[in-house]
Amino acid sequence: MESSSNKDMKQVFEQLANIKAVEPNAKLQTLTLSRLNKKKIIPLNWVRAVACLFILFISSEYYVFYNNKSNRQDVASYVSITNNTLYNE
Amino acid sequence: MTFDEIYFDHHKMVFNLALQYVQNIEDAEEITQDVFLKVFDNLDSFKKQASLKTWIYRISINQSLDFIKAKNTQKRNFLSSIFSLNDEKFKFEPPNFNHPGIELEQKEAYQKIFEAINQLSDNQKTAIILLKIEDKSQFETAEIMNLNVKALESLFQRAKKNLEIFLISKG
Repeated sequence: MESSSNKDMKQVFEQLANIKAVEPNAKLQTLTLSRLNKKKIIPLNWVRAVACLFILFISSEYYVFYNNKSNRQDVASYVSITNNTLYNE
Repeated sequence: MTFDEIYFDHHKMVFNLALQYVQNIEDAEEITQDVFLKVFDNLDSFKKQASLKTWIYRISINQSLDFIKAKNTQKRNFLSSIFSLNDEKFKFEPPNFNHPGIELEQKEAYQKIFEAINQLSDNQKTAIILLKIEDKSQFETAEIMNLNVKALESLFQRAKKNLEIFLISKG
């Protein structure tokens, strides 16, 4: 004999099985496609990221360039200054 | 298969599945859009280990569960900012129960059942929805949920038991 709780659950599942499938709104396709088309345009965040990378690249180039320049000046202090006159002159 | 053909063949299935999770048209429409955006993004990487339908089912389930989680987080953040609640467990309650597949005079009875279903864990909820509302076979459901049939069976038994407890507690 079936217990009452099993019977109740059977009834609940029968109710769930009776839920009808519905047709979505016809506008849904248009909405989905318009969101897709918006996505195809490059998102602003990517533009920002590329701009940041570009600025980072320019600043690193600037840093490297000026660092080299000061290095060259450091090396120059080790080179003895000669007056270009020959000893036997 | 073009994207339009995929949309045409599966949009009704995605929308109805989302409806079972969120029980209102607006949210189900939003989930449907998100699902097809994901399908479009990942169509190239879709490996034909599963059928297209199974793959879309999985995306729809994950998207619906993520949507519910996001809504719960929003709700938790809002409430905790007011009442300083942290550990409270929030369960999804649709803002307006508006399931178009249910007749108006039976709305109240169904609302109680869905309130109980919403209390279940993600996997248990999915098992009930696929087996009992979407009328999928055990084999299909197991494939969609990436489980073996035996594991699905025990998951369903636990879901049934918990559902019964939640329904009794609701009176």
